[in-house]
Amino acid sequence: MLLVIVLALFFDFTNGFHDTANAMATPIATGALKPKTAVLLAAALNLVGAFLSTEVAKTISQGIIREGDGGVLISPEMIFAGLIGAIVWNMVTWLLGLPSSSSHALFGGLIGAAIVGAGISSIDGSVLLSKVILPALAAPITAGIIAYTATKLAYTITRRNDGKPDGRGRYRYAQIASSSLVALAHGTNDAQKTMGVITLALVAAGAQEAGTGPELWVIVSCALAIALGTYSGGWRIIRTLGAGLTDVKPAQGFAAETSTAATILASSHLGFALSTTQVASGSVIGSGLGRRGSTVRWRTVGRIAIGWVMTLPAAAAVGALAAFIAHLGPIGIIIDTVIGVFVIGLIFVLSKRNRISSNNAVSDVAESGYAVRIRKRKIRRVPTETGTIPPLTPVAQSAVMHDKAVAAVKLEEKVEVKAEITEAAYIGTGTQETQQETQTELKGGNKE
Amino acid sequence: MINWAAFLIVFVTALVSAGVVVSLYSLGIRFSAIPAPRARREDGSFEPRGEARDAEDDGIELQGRPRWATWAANTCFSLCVGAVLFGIYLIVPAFHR
Repeated sequence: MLLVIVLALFFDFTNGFHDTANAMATPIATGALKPKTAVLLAAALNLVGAFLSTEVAKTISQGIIREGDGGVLISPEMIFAGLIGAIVWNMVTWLLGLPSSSSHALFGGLIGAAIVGAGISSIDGSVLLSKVILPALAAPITAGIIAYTATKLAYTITRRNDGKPDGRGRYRYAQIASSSLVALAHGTNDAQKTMGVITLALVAAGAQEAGTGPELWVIVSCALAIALGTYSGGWRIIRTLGAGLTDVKPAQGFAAETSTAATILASSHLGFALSTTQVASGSVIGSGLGRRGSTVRWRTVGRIAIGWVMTLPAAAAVGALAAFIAHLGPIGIIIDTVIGVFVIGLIFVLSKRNRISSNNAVSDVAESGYAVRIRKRKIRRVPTETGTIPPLTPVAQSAVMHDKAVAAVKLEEKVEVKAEITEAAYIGTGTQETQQETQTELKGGNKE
Repeated sequence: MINWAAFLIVFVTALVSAGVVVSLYSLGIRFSAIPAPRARREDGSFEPRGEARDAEDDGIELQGRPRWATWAANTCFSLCVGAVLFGIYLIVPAFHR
């Protein structure tokens, strides 16, 4: 029982950690907020959000798994196994830098555990299809179209043909507001899921009466866990969303975050639930398509899409396996725990080999601190040099490339090379792809 | 099966609201980017323009601009603040339940 609660809180932690990117990737990428400030803000808003409402917690897990009269009896073991599935999958996607839906991982884990524990009949296929699978397809497309339109609007309205300043840098202020809304909305939703799970477990163990809301200590600990997770920041995923999909400019970032906020609010208030992660990713892609002269890296998009398709079955598989072992009795639970801890430890060790933190997640902003002499736009080349989309490149390669880029920046700082030479240096050290990009940028300038 | 009506409502609402908010803020930016009239020199010619703009990251001269432009920009920005407040209202259930 205690183990379930600990696991649930850890899931909450990975959830926060995974989803910081949804709200904060674009403001970090455009320099609207410093990385640390951004995650601190997101953490605070998540904490506040978690206390605001417990509605979601009451409805969690109702529906997909038939519980109560005539349904299956959910045992703490099943919840335990489901949580292991969800956590393991969250950790794997984090290692790969993929923004995947934590709720899907949770559903997947619980479904897998339920199938093993109570048979395939315990799953309501049509509910699964209409509540999870179809929204998962609809979310990114919806958000993408909205963000595309919003980006087009933003650029059309602010376009000037007389060469005077158009003030688009001012979108940065608005970005702070729009991404804060996303973070707050996230807090009211996602911490709830864990509260729901813990309450479910308490009810299942007979420690709490069925039909009652989460208790205060559950709310407090869940809020803290998600805030902590958010603060520790899933830098890998921030990098994918902020720099991996497309180069985000302030106007785009604002359009994307506003679309995310609008879509999430509309979906949660008009009764068609959509995943925050999928909405946010769709928005970023849409805004990338909406700005002239920006490119969307479809390979990354493809990887993310595969991640989404995999989330439910993969978490279900892990959950099922864990449930299978857990059915051996107390020994099984111990084996599960040991394996779970081992896998999580392994993922942490693997992650150390290719470390991504606030210092290099979206390098332009983080490094601008000690590379002030370089103009902003040029610094923006650095993330591409650290290995275009580092989670994609082989671990070692990207690490080496990163070191090179940092060395280059430090060198410039020392010698105080002038801007032109800096450009040359960047062309020199970049990969083929970045060289071309840099050169086109230098020649043509920004098309917008 | 999937509730297409609900989906359509969500889609349209989100599209319209995101569009309106982004348009408002953009209009605000556009209005506040309306430059001051160029000063006349003694011989009747205009002062040359300032330096060419740098893509996204450029300051706006706020001094000496037409008053209506500043007023319009502020109205747009205020409406955006209103939109954010409405968003918070929607997020916090205590406000509307």
